[in-house]
Amino acid sequence: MEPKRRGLVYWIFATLLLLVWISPILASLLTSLKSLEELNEGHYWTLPRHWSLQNYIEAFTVGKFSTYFWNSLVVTVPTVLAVLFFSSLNGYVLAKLRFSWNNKLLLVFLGGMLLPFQILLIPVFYLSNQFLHTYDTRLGVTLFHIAFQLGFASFFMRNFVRTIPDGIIEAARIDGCSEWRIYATMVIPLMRPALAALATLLFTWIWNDYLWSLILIQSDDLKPITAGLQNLKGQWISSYHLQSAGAVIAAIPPVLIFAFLQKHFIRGLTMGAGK
Amino acid sequence: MKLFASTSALISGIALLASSLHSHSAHAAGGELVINSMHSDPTSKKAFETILNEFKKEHADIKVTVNTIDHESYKVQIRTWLPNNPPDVATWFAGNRAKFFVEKKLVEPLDDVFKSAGNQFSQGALSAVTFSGSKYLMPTNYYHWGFYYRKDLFQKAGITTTPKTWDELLADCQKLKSAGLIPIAIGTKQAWPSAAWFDFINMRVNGYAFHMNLLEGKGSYTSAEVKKSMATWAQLVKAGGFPETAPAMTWQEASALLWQGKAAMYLMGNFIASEIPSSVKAQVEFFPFPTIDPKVPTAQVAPTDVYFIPSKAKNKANAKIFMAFLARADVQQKYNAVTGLLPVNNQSKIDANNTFLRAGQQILGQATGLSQFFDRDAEPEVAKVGMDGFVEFMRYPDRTDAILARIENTRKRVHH
Amino acid sequence: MARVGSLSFMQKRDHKTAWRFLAPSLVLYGLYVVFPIFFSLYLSITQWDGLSTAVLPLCKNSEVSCLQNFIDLWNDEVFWMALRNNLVWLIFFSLSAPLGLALALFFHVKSQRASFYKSLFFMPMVFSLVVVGTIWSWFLQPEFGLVEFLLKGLGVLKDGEHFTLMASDKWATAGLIAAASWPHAAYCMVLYLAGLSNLQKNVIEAAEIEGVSRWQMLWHIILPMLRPATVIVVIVTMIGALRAFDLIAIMTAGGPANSSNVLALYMYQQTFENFRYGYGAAISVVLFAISLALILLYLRQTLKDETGRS
Repeated sequence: MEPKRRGLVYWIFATLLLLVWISPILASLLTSLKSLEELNEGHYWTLPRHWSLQNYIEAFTVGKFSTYFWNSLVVTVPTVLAVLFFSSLNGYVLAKLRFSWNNKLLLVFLGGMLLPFQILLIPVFYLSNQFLHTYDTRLGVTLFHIAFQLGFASFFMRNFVRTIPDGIIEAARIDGCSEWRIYATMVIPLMRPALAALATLLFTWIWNDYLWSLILIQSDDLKPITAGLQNLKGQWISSYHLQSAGAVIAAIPPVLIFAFLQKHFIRGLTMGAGK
Repeated sequence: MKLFASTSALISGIALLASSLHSHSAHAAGGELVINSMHSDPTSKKAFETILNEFKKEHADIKVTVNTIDHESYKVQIRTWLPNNPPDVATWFAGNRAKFFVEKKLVEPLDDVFKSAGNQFSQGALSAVTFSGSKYLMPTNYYHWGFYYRKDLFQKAGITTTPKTWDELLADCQKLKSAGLIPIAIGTKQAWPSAAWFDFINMRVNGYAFHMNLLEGKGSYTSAEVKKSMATWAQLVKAGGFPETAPAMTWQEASALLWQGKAAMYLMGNFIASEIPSSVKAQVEFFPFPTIDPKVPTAQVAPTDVYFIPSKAKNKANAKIFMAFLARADVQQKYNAVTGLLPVNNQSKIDANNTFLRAGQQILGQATGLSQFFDRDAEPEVAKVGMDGFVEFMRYPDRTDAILARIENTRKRVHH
Repeated sequence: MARVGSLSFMQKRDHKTAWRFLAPSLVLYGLYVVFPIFFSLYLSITQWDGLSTAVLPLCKNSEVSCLQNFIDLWNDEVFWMALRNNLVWLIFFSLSAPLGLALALFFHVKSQRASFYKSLFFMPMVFSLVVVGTIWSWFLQPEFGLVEFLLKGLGVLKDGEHFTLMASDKWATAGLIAAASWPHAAYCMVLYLAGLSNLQKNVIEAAEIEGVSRWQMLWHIILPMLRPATVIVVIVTMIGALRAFDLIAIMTAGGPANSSNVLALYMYQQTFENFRYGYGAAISVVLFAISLALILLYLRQTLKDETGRS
């Protein structure tokens, strides 16, 4: 089905559809640019009388968004790097080594990717608290995220490594290359697009996490931006103006990632869907 | 397998490092004092810093460390550090929430501290910190609950005096409704605002002692007395006293109804006073919850913040010094000048221009009993089932029996 | 590993390398994912309150059955309400799949403008559910929200009437599913667009020459060819419906009066708000069992596909 050129009626309808689709976003943007006074007077859905970035400034100062933003970054970036590294190792083993546990391990990783993580909540809370003493540290959240994401990521990388022809790897082995060198100098460069796709996905997922920071972090100063956004609620009266600004701020990094790496992002998501 | 071993070593090493960075327990003996505080919002944080600076001036030899943890997390976390590695002083709530820890022997008695300062606290306030004869908690502030109403809207509906009795309240609601207003604002997206209604009505109908007994888990929710309270409440619900949109609103959103002149009154705690927008400040006033049965003495809802010493604290001597400091009238006065709440020490002075505070001090001073609030007095599980039940009741008042039976089942299971 | 002796030299070397490469992952994964599953199974037969240091089974030293938590669950109205809502989620959240397909078919156009439109359509997909929940709470707010404002403007709601969707114990779940479907339909749209771009063109051209109707083309030719995409859409939808937590916690917290509660949220509330760790674990075990049934179905399918291909 070759995409066809479309006429004016199509575009009018498409534009209307788009406006409806993004109206929740527009509503939030509009509110975020209004002052509390204007909202308190009941002017919710008219254009702001005074356009103002005050709410954004307040989210950062009063709402401590700079702290939350930093915390999200400190958890997200190392998690993504660690998962990329470990999962590509796993992917290589699962796809290219003659290893009798391959199928069983693949099942274990696949199972973890699909399981409802509620079953992990209490034990991980208990482990971090009583045993690892990583409770209420950013490290604790990071370690958990790395472990949990390994399920999907290993499966993902394994599927991509499989597409490398066995021949070139065999040739390198015959030349006496160690498996580590094959992995580091041949597989990784070939995997670059897959790693980029996986990285964008992981970044978005970790950045957007809420539940695990709720369970594993207690100090306000260590909370990520999703929890910070929740904090804006309830501390100030009818705080939708601040919440809207906070929602926009929290959404910016994943939206930027998406805007610039759309191709990778979509490739990551659609892995397998097009086969 | 070498890599396996080294990786596990690495992970446990990282964990160890993290725990040493994180631990609260690393305080040496001597001049130290570690305080865990749940007062993380800007105002109460500032209030606490004010008196802390005062304390540091008076006791320069004591090195004070404060860990501020936000309210909601604190409630969850206290269970993990209190039995194992507690600070020297911790903040908490009075009432059953504290009783739970007292019964587990996790709280140090403060009878010696109160020996010198006890006469500066009212009997009502002391009853909230006393368990089986001993005093365990140092109350620093409380606040009152009651109706915040719009004077101008009452006038518009032809109401000249605020309601003193339940019947007057019902009649006023009718007038406000005819004037096209929502009589009483409430938002039950978080269930707790509904519980204030139960607290007040049950205390006004059945008395303070009955109510406290019920919340302690000793009375039955399916008793004729509780049913009578619910029937009283149902009158107001069925008369359309509350907005139908209540379950989708937080308490802040509901208060916007008051500020915008859509609703005429609001049963709330005095923390709302600092949130009144300047544009309507002149129109908002206070009246206490009306009488329902004139034979029942008047009790009030007054959630009280307290400080206590965990029984496993390392620097108990310093902690006691701090407790004696907190008990002082001048300290509580300075503290609450910032918080905007009422000092519990009855020698402390309050801002004479603040009409809300004056009203609060008056009704709490006259009260024959002070309850802490449903979810502080009742066991957490019962409180959750209860408050969810109240929200359901406010929509379906005819389901009273089923709702009460559900709360009663939970109470029976929790309190065997 | 008795078979190791019979392995060739190359296989032995591979085994050693494999363990070495996998070790860090297996340690972390075992600690944080595999072990916790068994620990939760164990906790579900205890009554741990989070305070005591020893965690003992319920039936030890008492007359209570070890399965007491599950018996309590059976008698817990809120549990059944949550379970029912999970089923409602499974059914209606799945509607984002046909919605995503419809959008994909509609926007399956090649032009600069179309890619721009598509990007905007995809955007909700990258939002945190906390952001989605915050935005939609505001959108659906019954007194001041945009929907209320628009309905008032169009005259659908008269004075004194309100858009009470989220205040209704019957309809709040519908509002939640609508909010959740917003990013999820975008996700399904992406998956289907990828599927569409990989269709075998010759089959479609042949069908066009034979003059089949558009509906027949969609139903008998395009949909069967999109099957791989559909399999993934169904899986992610099922998992998403069962995991639903963030959005509900933010938009209704399970209310009004638990009418929009689901197992994942109820488990959290019982555990971390009421401190019934054993009971919470029991709820998570039920949730786990449901998912396991679905996962096993999927794994069987995947393995069938894998063996079919190699």
